[in-house]
Amino acid sequence: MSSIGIRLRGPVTRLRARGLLWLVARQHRTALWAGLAVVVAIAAYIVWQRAEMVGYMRAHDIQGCSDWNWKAVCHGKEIDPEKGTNSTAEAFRHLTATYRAPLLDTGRLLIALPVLIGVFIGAPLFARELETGTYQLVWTQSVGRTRWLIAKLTLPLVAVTAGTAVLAALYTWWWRAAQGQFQDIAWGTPVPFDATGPAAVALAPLSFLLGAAAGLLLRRTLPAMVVTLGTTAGVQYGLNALRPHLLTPRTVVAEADASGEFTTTPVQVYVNAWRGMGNGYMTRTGEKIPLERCSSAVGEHGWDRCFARLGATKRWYEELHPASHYWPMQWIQSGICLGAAVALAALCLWWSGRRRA
Amino acid sequence: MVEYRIDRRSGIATYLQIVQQTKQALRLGLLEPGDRLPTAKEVVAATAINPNTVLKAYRELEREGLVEPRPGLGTFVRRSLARPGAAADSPLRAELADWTDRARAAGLDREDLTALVASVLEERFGETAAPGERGHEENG
Amino acid sequence: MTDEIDASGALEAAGLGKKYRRGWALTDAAFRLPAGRICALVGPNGSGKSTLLSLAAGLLAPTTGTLRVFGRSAADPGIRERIAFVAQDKPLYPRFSVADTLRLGRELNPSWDQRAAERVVAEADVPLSARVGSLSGGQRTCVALALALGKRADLLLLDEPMADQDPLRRHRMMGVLMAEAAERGTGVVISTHVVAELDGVCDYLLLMGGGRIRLAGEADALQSAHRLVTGPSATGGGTPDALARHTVVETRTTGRQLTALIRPDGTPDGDGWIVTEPSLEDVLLGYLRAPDAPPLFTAEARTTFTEVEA
Repeated sequence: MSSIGIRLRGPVTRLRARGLLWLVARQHRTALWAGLAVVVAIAAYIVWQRAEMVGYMRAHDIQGCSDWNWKAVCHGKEIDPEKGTNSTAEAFRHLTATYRAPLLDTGRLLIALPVLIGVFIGAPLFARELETGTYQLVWTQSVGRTRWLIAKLTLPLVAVTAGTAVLAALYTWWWRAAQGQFQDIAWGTPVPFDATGPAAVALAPLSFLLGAAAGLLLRRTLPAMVVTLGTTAGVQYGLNALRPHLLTPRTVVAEADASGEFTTTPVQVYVNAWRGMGNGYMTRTGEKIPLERCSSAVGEHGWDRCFARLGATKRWYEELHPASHYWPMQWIQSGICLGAAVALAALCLWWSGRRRA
Repeated sequence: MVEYRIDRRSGIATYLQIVQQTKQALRLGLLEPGDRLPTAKEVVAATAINPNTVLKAYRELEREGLVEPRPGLGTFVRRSLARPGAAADSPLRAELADWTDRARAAGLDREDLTALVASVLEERFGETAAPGERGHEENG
Repeated sequence: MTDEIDASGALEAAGLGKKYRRGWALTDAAFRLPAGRICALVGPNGSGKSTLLSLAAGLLAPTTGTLRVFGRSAADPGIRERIAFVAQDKPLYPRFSVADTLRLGRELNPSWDQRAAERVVAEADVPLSARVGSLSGGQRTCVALALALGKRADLLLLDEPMADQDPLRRHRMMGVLMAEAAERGTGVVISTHVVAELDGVCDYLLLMGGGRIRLAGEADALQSAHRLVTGPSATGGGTPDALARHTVVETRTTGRQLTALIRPDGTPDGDGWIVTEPSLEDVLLGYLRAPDAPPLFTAEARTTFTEVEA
């Protein structure tokens, strides 16, 4: 069984592999240039937007200000970005109005890219050859079928991974400059999680291989594209559903004082956290009573009575993923994606290893 | 050098057509001893026939002692079939041309002349002047 | 040509069969094609010609039996360099230029002959800069043939290569093919359902019908194994007694006259019978008209092995 590694051995085999790479590059010439143009355009846009945003923040001295709920902490002072009338609050409002939508829209575009890669590059890769019969042309030349398959997979795989890596790195760079200001956007949601870091990069080869495998098995371009659209979107949906469970959430407990205000936990604990994994009251023995337990309680005091019956104290707990979970979860998700990608590549090789179609 | 023209509908085996056309060229002095016949490749490239057919024709010519293969060089003419009287510039031919002109002047057309010549040939040679040996297409 | 080629046939099959989802396309084929022959693969549409060629090209795996190409399994990757295949619908990359297509041949074949390939394209008046997608069907076929010839293979498998050619280009392409065969002893298998197309070209014949091989062997041997007899038809129809000794392939009756294509056993005789040797086309047409006629294989066309692997 040949592999890319064989290229590095004898001069004859290297020559032939170069031949196949020439063929694959020639076949994808248009797509390569188009892809390069897309990457350059998006990259330029990100660099420009980030420069504008950071420039504005510097000019109005709101760098490092964290917007959190209805309050913003800015250089040790609390300001009210919603209603405040001072220049800092004005600047905050302008920042949100001008840069929040481009940031999120760019993120949405980036998480759509793997789907587009799978549908328009992965799915037709083999399906078109099988559909139009051109595979017969290549299979009856002097190169092996497995070698052809590897070359067909490798070049686009390297190209889409490299392109996505550039965009993910730039977007991560933009996001890190902006995340303090837009605290309400949880980092665990698809934007930004699937558009930043290694997770964004790993989605590209996975989606590409999903398309390629669908094309090999279905042998028809259009059905392969439709199936790829479904599976790549499904993969992102599934990863989103799985994500809170990749690591055990941290439990934060707050005590209410006599007036009912939760003061013991500083606001900063929640800053940069991905919240919403679960919350409720605790019993005297430290057991958790999720809010859902009393969601069916009715009446003015039904809620209080329900919790009292369950033995709730005034201690409030919340489960969340702190900012420190971001990188471990990024690597875990990347690992899952790359593992699946390797399995799909193996599936393609197995297919070519069967004697003949 | 001769150029073969293959008539697929003639009913004459392809190899025989090559043999006859070669002999014709030898009679008319178009091919002379020492001349090289076209290679099988040259013949089939022009006529799109099976190369084995050409080789079979050349073997037949060789068997009759008209040509000889020289390994690595090609097939060469050994013996001419040209007779002094049949050459293109012979006095006999000039007489015939003269006679033909007189016949035309007397109002005979081409078919009349052909019939006239055929009848004289039949009378003198005693049998029908056949256009050539008929044979079966053996090479498909 | 190497001794290896001469020793074993270009193609040799035993028990060869191929079943698709819709049924058997080829059943129990056993034949031999010696190297260096120009072989016509004749048969009506759907008779299994394309299946047999795809099996020989290694594009399909047989369901039953074995097909050897130059003595090795058709699945053997090492055999790919020695065969060239032009599929029936001449698949080529439509966005490639003709020059790109020839470059494909150069990049993917160690023994590529660029001049030979360019000669074919020039012979067909196809410009190198033309996009394959803009060519006519006949021109595309010429590019596919150029790719096959540039490969310098020992056996060319051509599936209906002349179907969409005008007479002039057909003549030129045949000339190119025959020149290749003359120069290098390359074997050629040309499938067709137009019998007259191959007149004077082929010296070997495989006739297929209903997924079976019906005639196999040297064209002249197959031809001379048959006689065309004409005589009075039997009263009340049926085969006249005078022919009972021979294998009757096909009979046709016109009024009181009967014409039969037979494989004579001894000299055919009988009162008033006229016996002639049929043309190859007469033989082929006779078999095509009589799908149930018994098959005939010449000695050279019989397979030399019987071992059948699943």
